[in-house]
This record gives sequence, structure tokens and C-alpha cells, in this order.
Amino acid sequence: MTDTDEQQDRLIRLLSPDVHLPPFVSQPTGPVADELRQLIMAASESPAAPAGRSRKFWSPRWRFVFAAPIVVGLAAVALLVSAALPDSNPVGPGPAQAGALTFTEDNGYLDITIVDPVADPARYKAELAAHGLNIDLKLAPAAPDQVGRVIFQEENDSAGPQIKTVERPGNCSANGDCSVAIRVPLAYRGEAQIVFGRTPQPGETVEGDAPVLSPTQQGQLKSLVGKRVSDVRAILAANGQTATYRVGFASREAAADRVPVNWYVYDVAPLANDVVVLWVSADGKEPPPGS
Amino acid sequence: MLDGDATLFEALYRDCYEDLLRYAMRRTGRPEMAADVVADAFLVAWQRIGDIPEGKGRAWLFGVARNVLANQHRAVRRGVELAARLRNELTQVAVTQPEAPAEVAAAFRALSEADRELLRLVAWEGLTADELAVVFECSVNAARIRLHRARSRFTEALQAPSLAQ
Repeated sequence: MTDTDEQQDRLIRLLSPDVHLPPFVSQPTGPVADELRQLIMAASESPAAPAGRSRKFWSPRWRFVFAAPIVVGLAAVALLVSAALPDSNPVGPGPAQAGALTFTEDNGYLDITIVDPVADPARYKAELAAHGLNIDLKLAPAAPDQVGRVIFQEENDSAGPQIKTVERPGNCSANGDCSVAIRVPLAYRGEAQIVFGRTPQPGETVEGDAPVLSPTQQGQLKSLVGKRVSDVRAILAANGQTATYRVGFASREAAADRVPVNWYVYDVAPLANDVVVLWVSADGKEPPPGS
Repeated sequence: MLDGDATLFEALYRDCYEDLLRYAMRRTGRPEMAADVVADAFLVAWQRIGDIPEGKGRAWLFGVARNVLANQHRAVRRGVELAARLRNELTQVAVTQPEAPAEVAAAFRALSEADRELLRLVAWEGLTADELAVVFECSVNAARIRLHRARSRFTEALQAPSLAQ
């Protein structure tokens, strides 16, 4: 660039509006930018993602990892099973009670609501299965603005019709989450696990407060991917961290003594209290559906 | 999700977030609209992380942001508001218009929008001719020529203020 060019640029810069951004907004690792980044990375799949698994989490505080059944609390949740548009009004025969869930058939889709919120979630799954839906539905203690919202959703079929989120623009949490229910297409043939937030019981903690990691800690965590279970165990022990294991396509929790030490870690996530979730498999790859 | 993709994206985000945000704020009518520009540009970047030319991520992102800006009036609001928090914060942010010498402002206004955009990207956002080539999807040579011509026209406009009104 010549001197004249420099001079010209200086003149043109005189015309530039002044933008005064507070650091917590402008810093890429600051809270505002970081939340946006996490939402972006969760909102859509990278094109290189292996076909099949999609995990979505609405809370900027990271993921939930559920394995054991959770006793359901008092929050009532509506689960809509529908092939219709969000603002349609189903009219039809009255609901047929079927234990913990109510199914209303209308014009080729099902409205499902939870009528017995203290039912064992295993019972929900059984009743959904009776309608040909392989959906694992759970409630978990959550922060107040997450109660009644979907806080975790994991599906294994990104190719077929998708589970949709029902949005109510007037009913949004502070982080911009406007989801109020889930709408599952009748044609849904994948496996899904969906967790809704509920009010914590006295003495319960909100599991979503997974730690926010520094870049160094994130790097350390990422470096565990691809390593053998035996090596990772040693690393975590040296760092004072505890491992919890997930196996198979459905991310079932496995006890440490049931995980072969020559298996590999293919994904990791941090939880509170220095606990690290390790997704493991024999070949170090994501397990195929059905495993 | 491939680990490498996430790392690449995070590095791009870290390097470009603030530049993109300031660019969007300088160019939009309302600061809070800048939030959607930033979110949409990075969303595209994440979805097409494998397409980004190596070493040209910043320029590529500016190209995407330009397209988003141009289409803002046609933008369809997504159900899940990714940029809600950023938008909220930006409504509080002050953007002050400059007090520039009247003849400079007039000369600049006399240019075509294409020339102005080119000169702004260079003077305000610090893009090089190489990067302009990525933004406008033309050859580096073409970018240099367009830039040279824009500069000449600006110089003329500065030197003939009465004609530039």
C-alpha cells in the first residue's frame, strides 16, 4: 500500500461510526460470544458428522448425560406427537386414557400428553413403544427458566423425519430458548432420548451446571479422545478426576469394571465435581444404531 | 462430529468474532440486527466448515456476512433464537456517527455503492486485496484493479468538491 493509499484510508476511517462494545460482549471467549458459539455448534450438524447421531442441548451450561431412571417430579409436560403444522388445532375423538400418557388420535397424528407426572419414566417408554415410538422420555431437575423446556435431546436418525421443537415466542428463557414441547412425526423411526426440565425437589442439585472449562482444560479433555481406556483412567486419576462410562449407540451407562481396558474413548464431556464422561467402544468409533 | 472440524471452527470463531461483530454494527441500521448477521455468518461457517479455503477463513466469513447483510430485509426468523442474548446486549451499545469533514463525507457519498463497499472493507475492516478476492469471488488481480479504480475515483471526488455535491 502506498503512502497515498494510507492517507486515503485515514480519511475514509474518519467516516467510520464508533462502536463502543463492553469487553464481556466483544471478547470471543467472553460469556456472550461463548454462549452463541455453543448454540451454533449445537444447532446444526457439521457436514462431516457421521450420519445418524445428533445431540442437541439448549442450556448453554452444557450437556446432560442420563443413564439411570430418574424419579419424576411434579412438573407436567406436554408431548405432542403430530405431523401437522405447529399452529393447527386438533379436533377429534376424545382422549383415551392409557396409564401415564394420554393419546389423542386425530387425522393421522397423535397428541400425547403426560397425565401422571409421578409415573416411572420406564413406563413412559413402554407406552410410547406400544405406539411404535422408540422414545426415552425423562424429567430432570433444572433451573427455573428451564422447567418445562427440553434440556437435552439425543436422536439416532438424522436422515428420516425429525423430531421438532414447538416454540412459543412469548415464552422464552433468558438465553433465547423458546421451546415448550416436542412434536414427533408419526413416521419417526429412530431412537430418541428427550429430557425435560422439572422443578428440583428439596435437596436436589441441578445437573446441568456442568463446569465451564478454560481453553487449556478443554484441550486436555479433547486429548483423551482416541486413547485407550487404560491410559485415560491413569490420566484422570493423576488429575484427581473420576470417569463415568457410556457404551453402545444408546449411550447406556456402564460400570467401570464392565468396560474393557483395551477399548477406546471416542467422545468426552465434563460434568460437575471433576467427573468426566467417557463414551467408549471397542474400535474407537461411534457405535452403529442398534448396538 | 469430527474433532478437527470443531477445533477449526473454534479457532475461526475466536479470531473473527469481534471483527465480524464490529463490521456488522458499522454497517447495519440498528445495532441489534448485527447480532443476527454474526450468528448467521458463523452458522454458515459451521455448516460448511469443510468448504472454507485454507488460510482465508476471515475473508470467507466477511463474504458470507456481506451476503447476510444484503439479505437482511428478507431474513426469515428461526424458531430458536441463537443470537437472542447478543441481540439484547447490543441494544444497549452506543454507535456514534462520526464528525467528519464535510468534503470528505461528500466525496465518499459521490462514489458508487460498490466503490464505497470496497474502500470500507479496506479502510474500516483492514482487508487486503487477497482477501477482497475471496470476498468478491474474483481473482486477486481483478480485486487490485477494482481497488485501484475506486481509489482514483475517490481522489477525483476529493479534488473536485463542487462537482461531488
